[in-house]
Amino acid sequence: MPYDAAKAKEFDKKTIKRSVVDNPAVHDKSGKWIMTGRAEFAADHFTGHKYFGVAKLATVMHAKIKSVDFSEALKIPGVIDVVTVDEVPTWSDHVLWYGKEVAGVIADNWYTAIRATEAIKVEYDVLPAMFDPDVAIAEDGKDGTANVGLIDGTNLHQRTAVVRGGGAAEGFKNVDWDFTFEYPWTTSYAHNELEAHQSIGWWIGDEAYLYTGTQDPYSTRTSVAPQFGLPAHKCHVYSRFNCGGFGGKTDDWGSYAALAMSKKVGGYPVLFKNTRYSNVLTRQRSFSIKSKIRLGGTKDGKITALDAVFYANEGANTAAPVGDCIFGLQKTWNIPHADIKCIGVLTNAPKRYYWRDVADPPGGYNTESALEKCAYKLGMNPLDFRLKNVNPCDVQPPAAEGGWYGAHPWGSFVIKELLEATAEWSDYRKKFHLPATKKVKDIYPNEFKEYADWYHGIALTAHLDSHGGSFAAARGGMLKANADGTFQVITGSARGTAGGTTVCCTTVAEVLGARDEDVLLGDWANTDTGLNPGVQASSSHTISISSAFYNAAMEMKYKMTVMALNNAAMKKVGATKDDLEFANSTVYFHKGKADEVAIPFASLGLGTNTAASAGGADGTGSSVQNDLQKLLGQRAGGAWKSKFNEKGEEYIKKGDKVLANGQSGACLELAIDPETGVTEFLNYFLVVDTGCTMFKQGALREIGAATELIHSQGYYFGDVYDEETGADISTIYTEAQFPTYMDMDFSTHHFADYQSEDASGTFGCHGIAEPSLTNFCTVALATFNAIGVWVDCHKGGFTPDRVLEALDRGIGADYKALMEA
Amino acid sequence: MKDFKHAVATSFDEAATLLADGKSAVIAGGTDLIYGMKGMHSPNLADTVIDLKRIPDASYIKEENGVLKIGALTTLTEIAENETVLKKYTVLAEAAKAVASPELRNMGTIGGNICQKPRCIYYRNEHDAFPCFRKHSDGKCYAITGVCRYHSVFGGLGGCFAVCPSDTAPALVALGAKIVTTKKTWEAADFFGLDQKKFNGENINWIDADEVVKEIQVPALASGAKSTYKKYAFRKAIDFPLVSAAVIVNGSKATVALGGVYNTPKLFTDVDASDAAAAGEFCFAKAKAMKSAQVDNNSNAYKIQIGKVLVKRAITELK
Ligand SMILES: Cc1cc2nc3c(=O)[nH]c(=O)nc-3n(C[C@H](O)[C@H](O)[C@H](O)COP(=O)(O)OP(=O)(O)OC[C@H]3O[C@@H](n4cnc5c(N)ncnc54)[C@H](O)[C@@H]3O)c2cc1C
Ligand code: SF4
Repeated sequence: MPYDAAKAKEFDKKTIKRSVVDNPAVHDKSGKWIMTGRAEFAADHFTGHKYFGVAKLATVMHAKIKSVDFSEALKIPGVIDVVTVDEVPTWSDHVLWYGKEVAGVIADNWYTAIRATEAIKVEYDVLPAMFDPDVAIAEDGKDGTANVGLIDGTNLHQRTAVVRGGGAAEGFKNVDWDFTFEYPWTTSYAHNELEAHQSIGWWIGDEAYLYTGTQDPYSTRTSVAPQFGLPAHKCHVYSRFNCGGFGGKTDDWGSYAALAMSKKVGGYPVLFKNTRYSNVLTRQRSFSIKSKIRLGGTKDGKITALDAVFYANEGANTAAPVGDCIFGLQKTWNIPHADIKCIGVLTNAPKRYYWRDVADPPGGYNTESALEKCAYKLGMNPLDFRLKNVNPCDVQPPAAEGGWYGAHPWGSFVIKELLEATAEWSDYRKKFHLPATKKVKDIYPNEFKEYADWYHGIALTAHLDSHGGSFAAARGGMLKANADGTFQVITGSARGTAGGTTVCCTTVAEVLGARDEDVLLGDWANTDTGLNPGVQASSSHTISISSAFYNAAMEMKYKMTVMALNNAAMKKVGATKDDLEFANSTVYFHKGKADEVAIPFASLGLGTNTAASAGGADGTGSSVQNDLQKLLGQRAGGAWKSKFNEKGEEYIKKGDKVLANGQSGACLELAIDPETGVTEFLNYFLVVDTGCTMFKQGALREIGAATELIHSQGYYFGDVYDEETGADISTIYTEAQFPTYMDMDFSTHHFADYQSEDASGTFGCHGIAEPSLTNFCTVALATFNAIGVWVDCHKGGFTPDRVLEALDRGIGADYKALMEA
Repeated sequence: MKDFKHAVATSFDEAATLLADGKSAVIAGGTDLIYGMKGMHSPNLADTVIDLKRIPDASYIKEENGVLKIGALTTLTEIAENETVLKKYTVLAEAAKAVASPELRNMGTIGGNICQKPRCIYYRNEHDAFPCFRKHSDGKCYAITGVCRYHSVFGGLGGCFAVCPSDTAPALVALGAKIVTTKKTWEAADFFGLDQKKFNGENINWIDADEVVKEIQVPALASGAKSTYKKYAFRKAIDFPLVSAAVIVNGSKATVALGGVYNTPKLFTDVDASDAAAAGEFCFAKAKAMKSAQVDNNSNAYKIQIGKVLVKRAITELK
């Protein structure tokens, strides 16, 4: 494009500052695909050219399959073939829970396949089952008693054990007070994701192909390929949209089935798809915890000794990540002598895993209840008690415990600030009262009139969460430059939630000086080009994936600089690389006299250039992060705070590893009707440390979603089992337990981000929504504060039946008993 | 989804004739019927579905000679929003409004609402995983030994503890409505079998397999009488009544029909309305929480407490 003086005159240096950071015009890049119906889910592919696969599920919870009779199923018109448990990886003839796969059907129609599963007859050798975790604990190791039979003939196994200082034995030698608190089992649940699981598998020669709903295509490939004896490069995984990840989109179960079924029919595409109900029975769910926590300390409220044991019901999953349930207790609180254990309990309940619950929330839930009770017993405001005991940011757990994940020299630890910020925002100190002493009208004489005579409850918590460590494995990104001056970001990530992929685009736009609209989303999860991708949108890996794109964009910028300097106009004016400025998808040269040359990217002849970059191999992500932060600091107009420590040294240096775990604070105010047990949220304040946020809208949206999840978890989620058969029967009643806007008054949800001074990602690599969920415990604590009784919600939320049952003991009864004990 | 054939009826009588094969079911809004077909919860699901929606003039709300007449195909939204119903038969408008969600009320009809199948978690379990005796003569009741959190607090009709899931049923019973079918005109109380000693297969009413509901007739309330419907469910929307109360107060007397607490609506007439709390106690005097081997904190005792409060609050509000 020839030099256009008039156009160049329009150039205003200010436009350079009009960056995409914090710009409300930046929208979730993939949102428009969904809104315009162009988003493709796994099942949308191969229309009219695929078979359908369905699994038959066990109706017993512990058995060996004796025989399977497929004869009637095979007679049904439309049935193409069947598969046995031997033909699908991870399926087995050992049934460990109600709902495990026992056979499969491939048909030309999904409904035919479902009907055919009814015609399959399975005979079982039924084995003794262990559904109740307390029975599993009690019976463990007893001679002659049946156990779950999963590993080593035992129901229990040690997950984590931490000893700090002199351990509990030493710590409790010298304490002014010594209290033990027990918490019963927390609930287990799975969200009913909008998209029941779907995967299409097909084979071309000896290479496997998959369209699947996974959050982490790279890991899917890594786990699927060896199951079929393939090297990774012969397994191709694509995951574009998946409707809500919620941590449950990491299970490759459906992928195995789709590929195994396709193999059975000569490689023809097979869509393996759950029904809504089979999705509930087969998907992993959160685990539940019970605990015994003994705390001791000094008169001034300092905890100096801790002895805690957590039991975690893992269902039939020997690899349940339950060990992290002690994370909050271990890392958030500054306790010199401690023994903390987590013991996994195997049962014949459905397998337990994450489900947006990640690892900590049930543990945090137990921990916070112990802390709250302890504060009451000591006559301290629970907030002051927490502030007294929270780790200051310069104290690390001892090296023996790995410090902050090994040798990280620095990380943000702002729990104290989050406690204080949340307290200030919610006016907690003014509203706090002892349990069962205040009605809503006492706190709000002029508001919430409809709840005037209901009990008012308030609680405030904050924690460090294991989710979101920054040192994730290598991630890669690919950036493609198009001839028209646009760029395509090939993330290798599945679109899970608002933000993850958007921030990759934003990073590129920022580095290149491209207009936001010129950076397009390319393919997702094409593992042949995405190097080592697999970012879970807006989750822990955001730090390294955005670093990878930072690298890719820097490389691209270098290429563009060379091209710009080779441009005739630039040559004519003798431009050097230092004279160039990249903004608004244009390269500007404005040495001396301003604005002499302006070349739109489109005329640089970018063509098919591609730039790929691996970022984030064990910490290099965070070093790149440092550069990105500098950039952000400039562009965000000082939003990025000081990177210098008290001595004036730059505390995050290139190559440094940083801690960037999730951190959040929350304050819940609720009202409880003592007559019906019905609870309403009055105000819920959630403050999340997002680090330095680039796509602020996305971050806030995520935090908002967390408030909804906490509300849902408090009142709606919770598995209902028929304990005789081990069947999850919960969702049959209401079809789905997912509450909608009609169930909640979102105007009671208030959320904000807290930009701490850490080296976290552009999106804020803390996981944003997920760490917030530990604050689910505020529901328990505020309920106690309102009515002075503990509500047992181990089979679900704080529903009126459970509140009323607790109230049978009388308003304030448990508080009185606690203080008298 | 169960495979089924589709037929269209152009009159209620034609629909009734088509039903005579014993293997068919009529479909109105389809919000309950198709749900069942998808889940294949029963071996008795229809082979042929007969569409009622093409029947002309089957959707209307009109008042004739002091009687409110509602066509069987009238949607719940139309009833909930109709000014006459809202003003004069408030309990019915509020009951219709309490059903499910806007989408389901837009599709769901009053005819379908009073002919829907039970919602017991065991009965509804997909693929007939719990073959209970509402659908198998040789089956058993699973709720009595298992999860009974959502079930009856007034004992089990014929040994079944599934509650009447319909929101409009208690309202119609309290109002003393009549239900006109292709065979006869029923009193609402008989239609739902309030005095029956057994249940009627998978049905919540007592019409024959080849009988179709045509119209609902509601007599005007006595002058000065006021009515309301109060419902409690775990969810505020898209959830069936765990306990509900259709209440009409006329001077010092109240009529109360409870929903969600027994296989049929539970009717109390001539209730002393002078003491609202006592009226609540009175209606639940014979109620008893279920206990089962699996029950610890999940019994259905809460229905009794919440129900008493709903009755009390309804009467207090209407007085
Ligand atoms: C998620 C969900 C939530 C729900 N929540 C509620 C709730 O809160 N309260 C509530 O009351 N209901 C609820 N329902 C149940 C029900 O679907 C609706 O109440 C609706 O009114 C049913 O009407 P329909 O026209 O869709 O019936 P259909 O599904 O068409 O029919 C239902 C049954 O009635 C029969 N039938 C229909 N019309 C006639 C007729 N004229 N004569 C004889 N038989 C007939 C059909 O054969 C079928 O067996 C819910 C349903 C769902 C799926
Ligand atoms: S309560 Fe009734 S519907 Fe439910 S399992 Fe028992 S018999 Fe069947």
